Amino acid sequence: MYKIISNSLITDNVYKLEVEAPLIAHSIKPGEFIIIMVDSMSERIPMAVYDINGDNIIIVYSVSGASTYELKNAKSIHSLLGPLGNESKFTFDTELYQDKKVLLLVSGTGIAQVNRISKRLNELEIENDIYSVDKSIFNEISVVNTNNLSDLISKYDAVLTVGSFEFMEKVVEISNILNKEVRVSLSPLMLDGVGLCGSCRVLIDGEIKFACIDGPEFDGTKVDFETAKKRMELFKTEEGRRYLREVEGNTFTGGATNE
Amino acid sequence: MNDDLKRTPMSMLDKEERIHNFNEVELGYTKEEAIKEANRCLQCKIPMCMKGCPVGHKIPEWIKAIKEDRLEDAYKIISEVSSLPAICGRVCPQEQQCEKMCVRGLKGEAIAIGALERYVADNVERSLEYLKKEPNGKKIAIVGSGPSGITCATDLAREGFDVTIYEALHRPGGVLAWGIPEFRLPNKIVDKEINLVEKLGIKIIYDTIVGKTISLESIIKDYDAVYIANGANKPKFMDIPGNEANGVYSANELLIRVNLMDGMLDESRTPIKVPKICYVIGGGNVAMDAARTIRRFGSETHIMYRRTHEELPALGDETIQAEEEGIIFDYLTTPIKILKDENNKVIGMECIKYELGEKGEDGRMSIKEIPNSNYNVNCDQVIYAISSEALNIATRDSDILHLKNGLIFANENETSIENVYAGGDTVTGPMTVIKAMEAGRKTAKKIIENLK
Repeated sequence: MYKIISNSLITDNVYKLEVEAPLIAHSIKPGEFIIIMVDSMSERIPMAVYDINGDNIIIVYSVSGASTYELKNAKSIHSLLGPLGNESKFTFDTELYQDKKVLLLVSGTGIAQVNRISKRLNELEIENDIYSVDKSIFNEISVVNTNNLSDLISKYDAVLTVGSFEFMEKVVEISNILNKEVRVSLSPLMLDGVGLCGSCRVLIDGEIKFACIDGPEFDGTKVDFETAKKRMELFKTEEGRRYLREVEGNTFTGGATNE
Repeated sequence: MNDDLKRTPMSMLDKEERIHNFNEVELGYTKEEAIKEANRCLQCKIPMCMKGCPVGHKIPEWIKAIKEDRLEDAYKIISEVSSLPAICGRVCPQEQQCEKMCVRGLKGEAIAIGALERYVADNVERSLEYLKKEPNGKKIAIVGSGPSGITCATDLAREGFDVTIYEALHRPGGVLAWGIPEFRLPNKIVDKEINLVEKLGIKIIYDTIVGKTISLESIIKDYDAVYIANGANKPKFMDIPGNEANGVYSANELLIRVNLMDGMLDESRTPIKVPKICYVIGGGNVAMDAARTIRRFGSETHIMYRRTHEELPALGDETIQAEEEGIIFDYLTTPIKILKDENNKVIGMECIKYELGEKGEDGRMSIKEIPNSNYNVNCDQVIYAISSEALNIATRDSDILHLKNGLIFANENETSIENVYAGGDTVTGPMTVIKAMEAGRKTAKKIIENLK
């Protein structure tokens, strides 16, 4: 059982959760993630860690389905597993980016995945900026119009993008045209997070990789987005039914409810 | 003395009924049945059954106690060598071990040793604490709470060691909890067994991945010895087109959804995609477990295996039960392509037929493709149960251990580092629960000797 320090609304439908988890707080590297279970019957939800505060980890999430709805109302956390996955290449292979300018380009709660990467890059004195295509979450984040992505990307040497598969695919396409290194941090459907099931498998250069143990960050140009997008549809019906049942009449639709 | 050539049958759930629920299929012996079966035992002077048991159960001794209805004594005799009889009685491959050697099996059927072991475990008030020796002040860390880790932990705790198990998941038992289905090994039995051994002072720390949450180096430093028993559970997918289709799963994924995450219960948040027609590829116990699980959701379920019934690696009982439950076996067949529609959904498989050839060097029958035997089957789900490989998160980022093909290299469970041991699937590749337990026991013995 893990103690919730705070769990509050920061902006329209987006919440910030601070949980006491000393072992994870002291071991998690930028780019790695965790899996959270609200109670023993809950789904295992993969989450980025937005920040660390002493012994606590901070998570930023939007309520988009039955499980995040449950998280919003949580009194304590049953299970927190991590760190999972691998450190970001940008903070790991630091010498590669010593004199480069790195763009961290996100949509939605993708900001949670790049925040610690940016902080670490700052410590390493590697020039970097975070841009979001939607302004809602944090006021201090620079916003870019989706029509101007090309102009923005052309000012940098390398891009890390985090967001929906549709968004990342677009960023990869533009970066490719501009001949920029582009990496993506994926969050496909995931179950155990430690390589037991293969639910999170993605095709990377035609080869099966598990996002949980081989990722979550990959070379964006190698990702098969077509199948990745379609795999996201997998449990929508089941998840949607559950969500509708849970919120009972709440008319909010968070993307996972289209039967 | 009961000289019936046939063993006393165990009551089972009705086959029509059981495919609608996840209740344990084998109901266990009643007292009368157990005594009747125990009376078939010849009490051999030189018991062959014991030679077949990897942990050295004194089988005739505790069967004698069952005959005389001295269940507490039977339990004490079993406890000398096994702390997990409710699990072993259910999932040990007795037919390939003790029962295979049983003299009564020469003419008629062997004694139902597994069923009797389970009868004892399920019907006595159990406690192991009386076996615990004085604490010896030595601290042991074990990586993984699966069958190997639990066995090793129990043997060491009984000997007075202070044992801590690090478990990545939120439930104990490893493959016993997430892999083996309820209808073969109910989780409440696993939990009860683990509760009992925890009373020996074993601490289980959940949500902890050695190699990530805490480093392997730090536990090597903090403990007098470390036993790595984290299994080999990364599922394999066949190297054919279409694995990315929606509706292709590893057996592990299905089993985790249902067993670990209680996917069959309405209050569980982890959904199951119920197919109309499902093909499970493989012929081992995991294939049977996956097929029988899906069958319980009402789907038409096939097992597709490239050899024949004779070569099925699964245990005989499980195969029989799968057949009884209406699972269709497609032998001498393998998929070569998974067919999908424009939405990436599985709609079928292209398959080819095989024929058996000569017996190979490994003792298995070779197979050869029948030319132009291609045909298509319709289905909306494909589940691979074609083995798994080592993953070793614990050692992947650590360059201190010698690895061999991704497995930890260990000589008689001793690794390249002093006081660091490894055993079970993480050393051997995927094997059985009992093999993992055997490795746990051997390692415990070594640790006891080496740390004296």
